[in-house]
Amino acid sequence: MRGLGIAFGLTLASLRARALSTGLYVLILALGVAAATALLLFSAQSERRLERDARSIDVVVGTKASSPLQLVMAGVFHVDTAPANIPARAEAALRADPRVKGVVPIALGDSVDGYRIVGAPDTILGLYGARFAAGAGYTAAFQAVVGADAARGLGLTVGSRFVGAHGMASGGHAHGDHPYTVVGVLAPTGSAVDRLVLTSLESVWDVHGIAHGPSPTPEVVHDHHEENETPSAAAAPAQGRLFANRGRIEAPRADVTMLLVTVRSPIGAESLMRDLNAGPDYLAARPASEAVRLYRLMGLGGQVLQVFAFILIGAAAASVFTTLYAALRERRGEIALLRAMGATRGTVFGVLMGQGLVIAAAGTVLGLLLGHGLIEGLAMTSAQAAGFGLSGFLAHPGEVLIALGGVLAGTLAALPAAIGAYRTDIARTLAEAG
Amino acid sequence: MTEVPLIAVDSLTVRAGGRTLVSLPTWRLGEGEAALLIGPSGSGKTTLLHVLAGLLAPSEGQVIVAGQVLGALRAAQLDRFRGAHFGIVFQTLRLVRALTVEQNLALALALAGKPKAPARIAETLARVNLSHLAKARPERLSVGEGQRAAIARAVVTQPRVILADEPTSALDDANAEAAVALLQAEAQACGAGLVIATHDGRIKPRFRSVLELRAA
Repeated sequence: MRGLGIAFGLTLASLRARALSTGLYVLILALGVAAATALLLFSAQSERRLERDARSIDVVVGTKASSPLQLVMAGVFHVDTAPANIPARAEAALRADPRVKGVVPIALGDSVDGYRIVGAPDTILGLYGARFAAGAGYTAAFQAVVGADAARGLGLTVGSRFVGAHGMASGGHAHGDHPYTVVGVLAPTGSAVDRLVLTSLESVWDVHGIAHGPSPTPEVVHDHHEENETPSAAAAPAQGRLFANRGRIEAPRADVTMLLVTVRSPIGAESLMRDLNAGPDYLAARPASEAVRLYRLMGLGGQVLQVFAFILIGAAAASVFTTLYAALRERRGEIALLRAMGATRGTVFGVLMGQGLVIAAAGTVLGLLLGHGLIEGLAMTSAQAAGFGLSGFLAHPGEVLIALGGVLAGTLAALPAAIGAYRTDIARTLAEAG
Repeated sequence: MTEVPLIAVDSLTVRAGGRTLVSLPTWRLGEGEAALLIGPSGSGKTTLLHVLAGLLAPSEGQVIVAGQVLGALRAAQLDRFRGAHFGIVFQTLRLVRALTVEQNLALALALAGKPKAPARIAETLARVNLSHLAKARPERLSVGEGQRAAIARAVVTQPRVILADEPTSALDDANAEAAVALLQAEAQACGAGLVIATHDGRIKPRFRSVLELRAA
């Protein structure tokens, strides 16, 4: 125990005496650990967000002009550009299908300062399990309900007014003649809806001057919206449950961007998709499988980065190794002096190992903090990153492995120098150094 | 004289690479005695000092220090025995650079297994006239100050034996004179035996007991 205390005191003193290089090793190691941590957090958190968003929507239906991935990216994760519209009759056809439990049509295309405006009946809130933090659902045209992040980002509260712009980039053509009024703000859900601005389909159509009068399809009963100031879809209060009002047949009035479909059974989803994709008009995609595919693609990129992170950690360990080992030559005299003063081989071994351990521990702790900071910084500054639901304040069990890896790498790096110190031939060193 | 000698060397031979470095049939150092170890370069002075301190195991023969046969101790025990019983001064290796002068003395006490004694450290530094540099790092000391600090570090533990290997070679006349006087005074103050290995003729007149080694 005596030797341990002395070794620790000497370890700290030697590190202090070489504060600059010590700081440098700590920093290099911290960068490697930070990269590994940030990657882990990013992939785990984005995967969880993708899974959560994909869970409640069974099938997304759009036109053949789009791709399955685009449908899911635009319609479920709300990160891709809107695909071409789907004819209004599709909704009615799907509602009539016995395999289908519910259909939520959505109209995309506008945004407010980077936050998407989604035109949809408020049954969309049920898909994401959203609850109101303030206010209520839209009951008239040009009323809007904003997600938690969007409300914070845009500084909107109930009663605020804002103007949408065409397209996704800020600076698109502003629809200044059609201001929206916020009637409700949603509580955070941890899903894509947090970053959305929701309004009725009719509002989106009106903004774009799309006529949405009598349905062109004869097989559906139409709902003449012009005279009816409270469209039935928008009038349904947010229930927090899926399709509480599904007894009411919704009549489509104009084309929508895509349809979010829930089904009665997983087998139904498969056969529905097959039927739709076999036909000439529609393209159907399963968010769950697209999410898996997307995740696999991202995972591949993540693996490459992970290799880089481990190379960084390895490089840090190698630089600690080289310097400690190179310093051993000039420190042999001091090691001999310590031995002459009564230090055992174990104590000098401990001093060298201790230096590696302290650098490794400090670098690892700093790296974990940096990694979390990086993710939080990304979430705060990038809308795309925020769309993946990133937060620097969530930990992941895998960080324990990264921490162990960092400490182990730093400690192993000190081992050769420590063994060299242990084996130092004292008499010869003293004879040479005097 | 029936009392047990502080150091007893018998039929000692140290060989390395087929060469005999030191051959010493018998040698004794009594309690509190001072001896000078002289001889030309390569005569094995340093080797003999290392053997006395247990830093090097002899090829033959044995060394007994304060009643303890050095060869009977295991490696770690020998290290602790050395820390507790010896104070060693080298020609140029003086202090641990990462530590202040004061901390170097505290380290010597810790390695000797002795309790922390700030008063003893302060008093020792005062005797070698280094109180004002107690908190200085070794690189700030002059050559003479450094050697005084090394002597303070060697005697702060109140060792039974003080060994010094060419303690004056790097010093000018005045500093050499002062260093030897200090070593002798400190050895006397703590009742320690003193062995100085040197080829420095300047200090020979100060010693009555001289062991001369011949080049092997």
